Amino acid sequence: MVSMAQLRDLDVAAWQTGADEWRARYTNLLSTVTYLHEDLDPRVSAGAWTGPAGDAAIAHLRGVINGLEIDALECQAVSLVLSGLTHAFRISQNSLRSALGAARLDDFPVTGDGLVQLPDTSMARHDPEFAESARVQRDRLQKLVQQAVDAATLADRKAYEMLDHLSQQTFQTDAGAALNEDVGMASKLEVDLIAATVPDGGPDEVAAWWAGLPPEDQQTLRMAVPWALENLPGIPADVRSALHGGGSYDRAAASKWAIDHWNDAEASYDIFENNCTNFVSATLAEAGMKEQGGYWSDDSWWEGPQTGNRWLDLHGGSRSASWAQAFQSYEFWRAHGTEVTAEQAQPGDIIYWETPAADGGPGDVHHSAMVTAVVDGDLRYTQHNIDQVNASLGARAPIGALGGGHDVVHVVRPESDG
Amino acid sequence: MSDLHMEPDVVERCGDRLTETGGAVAAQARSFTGTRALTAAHSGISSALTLDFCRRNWSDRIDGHGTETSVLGDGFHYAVREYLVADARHAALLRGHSRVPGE
Repeated sequence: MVSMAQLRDLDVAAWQTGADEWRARYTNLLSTVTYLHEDLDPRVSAGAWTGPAGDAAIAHLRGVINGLEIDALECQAVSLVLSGLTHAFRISQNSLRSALGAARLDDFPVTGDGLVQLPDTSMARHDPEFAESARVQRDRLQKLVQQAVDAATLADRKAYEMLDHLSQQTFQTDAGAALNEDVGMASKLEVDLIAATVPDGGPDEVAAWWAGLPPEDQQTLRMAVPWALENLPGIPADVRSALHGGGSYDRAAASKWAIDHWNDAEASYDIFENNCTNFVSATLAEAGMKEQGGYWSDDSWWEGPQTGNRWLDLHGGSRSASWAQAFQSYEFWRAHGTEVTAEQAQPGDIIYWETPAADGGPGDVHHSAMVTAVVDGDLRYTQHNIDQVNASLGARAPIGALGGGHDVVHVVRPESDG
Repeated sequence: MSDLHMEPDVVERCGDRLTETGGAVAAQARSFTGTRALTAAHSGISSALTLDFCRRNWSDRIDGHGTETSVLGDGFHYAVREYLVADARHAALLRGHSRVPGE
């Protein structure tokens, strides 16, 4: 458990330094892996050393590369956990310091273990009306202090469990598992740790908590966990409105729905072998995006009633191509929205992957997912088949490039009602 | 099985690179000063305690991979030397000598 004094005096910058250090290990080790994979391996395997010894040398070299790639990925996973913990500690500490500052301002003493006491004044002792209002204010301050300490304790416990798991992964031999499981879980946890700082108190406590946060923390929360704020009584109306976005499409709700349904088994949208774009469309529809056009329109986005007959639902023209196919979805939403850069991405946007054509012509847009969070500028996406939730684009893209992939990423902001 | 063939210069340079790379990887394993400072300053926080354990485990593994990479580089160098000696011996035999000149 994190105590009030520990949270108040915590050196948050040191945690950021720790996160940066593990990230630097990831970057440097990945650079080594890239060099060995793209420069050294081809030199040896291109015929410079053949025969049994040469074959053994190449096999050994590839084993070393695999081991170093796992090291890099696990360092990235630790970095993501520490980054989430840094955010959680900073937000909790700022909440606590804000509450302690308010207590000091109004002469409410706070004990070393975090108990807020009534002001020791003659008015508090002799004026019943003042004493009652002081008790109400004391209770509110106590809740704010306790919320901050509880949030830090929860973040510490979750991070402890994940770091304990990662510390035991030194026998990992599968780079795919290191990426999809350990980095994937750490990326999800980073967002969860930020979400854990959002209190569930009454509107007054939430309003005081939000107002006490520096703008940087407010921005972190807006971009990482908009769904946790949008319907929280006490969050200012203008903030909630911005998180929703204009029109019928609720951007924060889209993030929430995708996060809640990323790994649904036998979901209604599991029609095809790969349902990535079906999942994106289901998310948009669940978040209030209205269908556009119709069966006879070339420029449409819609899904008709499903018959339950698999063959008919697959082939019966029961949805527009833009509903279930990545390239057509990209073309449709680019025309009915705005393509933005990855740096401008926000939760509720759609992300597409395109494999460029060798001849410079139109590439193959082959995959799509929902942008469900942005943390420190790193885009987090959620997808179905292959299931991932709040996966880090920054962590995964360099690994894809290592395997020879050079996909281009497109981010599109769909607009409500076309 | 491939036919035995080696380009000694290429393999020698690859060995050099592996030795250098192994040293750089081992240096990565040692450079966790910020993490050490963090865990020392927050010894009462559970995640800091586990982070220290994590750091020691991964530091050992990364250091092990650095050593393995350097040893592989040494193996490349050794193979080049053995190849050149065997090549010279074969050349001498083909010229009718029973020993490599100078041995």
